[in-house]
Amino acid sequence: MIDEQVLTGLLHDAAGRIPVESQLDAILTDAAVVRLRPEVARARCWPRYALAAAAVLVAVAAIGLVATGGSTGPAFAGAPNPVPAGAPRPGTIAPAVPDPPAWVRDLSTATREGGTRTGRWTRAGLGIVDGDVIRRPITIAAFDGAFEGATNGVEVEHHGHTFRELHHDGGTTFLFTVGEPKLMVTGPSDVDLAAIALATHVLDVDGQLQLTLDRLPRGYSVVVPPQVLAEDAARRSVVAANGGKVGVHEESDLVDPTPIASGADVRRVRVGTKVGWYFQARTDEGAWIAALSWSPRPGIVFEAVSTDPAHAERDLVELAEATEVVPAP
Amino acid sequence: MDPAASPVGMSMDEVGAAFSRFYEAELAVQVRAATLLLGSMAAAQDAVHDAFVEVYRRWHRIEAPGPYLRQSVLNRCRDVLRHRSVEARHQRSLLADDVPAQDAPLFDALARLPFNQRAAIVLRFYVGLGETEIAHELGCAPGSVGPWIRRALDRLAVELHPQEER
Repeated sequence: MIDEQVLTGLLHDAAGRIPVESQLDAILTDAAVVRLRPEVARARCWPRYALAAAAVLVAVAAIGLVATGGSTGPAFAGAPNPVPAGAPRPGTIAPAVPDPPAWVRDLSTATREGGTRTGRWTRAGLGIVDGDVIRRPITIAAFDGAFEGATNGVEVEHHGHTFRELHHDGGTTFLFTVGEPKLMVTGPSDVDLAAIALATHVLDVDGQLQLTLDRLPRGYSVVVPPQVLAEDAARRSVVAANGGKVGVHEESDLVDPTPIASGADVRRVRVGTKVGWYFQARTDEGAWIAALSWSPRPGIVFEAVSTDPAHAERDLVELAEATEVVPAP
Repeated sequence: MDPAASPVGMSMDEVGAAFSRFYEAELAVQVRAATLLLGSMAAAQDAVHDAFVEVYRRWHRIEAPGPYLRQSVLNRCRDVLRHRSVEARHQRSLLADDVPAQDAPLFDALARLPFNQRAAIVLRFYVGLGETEIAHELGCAPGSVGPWIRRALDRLAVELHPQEER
């Protein structure tokens, strides 16, 4: 164990060499502008970043949208859909691209860490269905384990109840209940996510968490019925290329490929004989990102990601079509 | 005025003056703590700046701006690291990109710690918080902090062994 005084000295010495620049004037000016224009449109964040930690991709059992909800009455109830029988465990399979498209270079394989959540998880997705597009999606997740992201944010009070709220300037909010039931609701910041949380009921039936929602936000439908998520494996296989700006990831704990990303509209596209879901957006930092998720086989979910605007939907589809399923190394 | 005193009930001029004092009192330690967490001065400046903006915008509604600011900086640092991890998911460690070269071993060693361990180390041994305060800042059980710190100290002893022997 390193001596605490030695470490304290190292940290303070290093910190002392870090220059600090005051930006006070910019803060006072920027904040004044915002005060005058409280409704100013904010740039969208890239929700997939948040999703990577929050695992907010949810899945739908069928390829098409399932619009079962209305604006009044019980939105959904009943047993969640399990992982398909015989599906491989997340982390046991991997993407491979034996014959990559011409634009792909420096292809390599690696692993990434998962395991950000534990316990049982049941999730559902809401969205405004507009043809092939799911607009302004919202996710609701009930869980009884731990989740790294649940410790983020600050305590806030909505409708007389305490929540933990993680707000992204790009317009996405992650809202967590404090106490029981454990719920995570994600979606656009201008939606009353607390009301959705308070309208959600959780039952523990036959070893599964079931979700029931009393009412839906105006214009919303249930696009992903409550579904049990699979184990969040500690290690996942990755195919990376183009200096890390392009990759394919295994996301099979999400069961099915429909990405109900909080905040970003997702669009249905064709991946060979399968259906994939594509979105592109800008991060809070202004960076560009695109992702395409699809299911090559029931219970297996891959996601192709690009942070290079030169390789958007068409290239990601091409990469997805060239991707095969292999056993994890 | 105590920079951490309640700002509730102030006029705009008073808010500006109180916030300015708060900013000057907190800026250096927040930027440097964030740099130790992120391994990047530029990213730390951005995270701290954005956190201060949030605090200023909510000044009238925040009763304890000091803890609020620290939590906001921590959350933004966590977000930055997540963003990076998505952009380069196969890269585990964060590479110090704009810190002084002589401190690169320290930043590399910190970068190899899990976020909560890294944050606990920085908050304990740089910011000087107690374990209870650290637990509050990280939103975890107080009993978690001690083991995180011990595990981190063990790992840092291995990573920084050459420096320790100097």
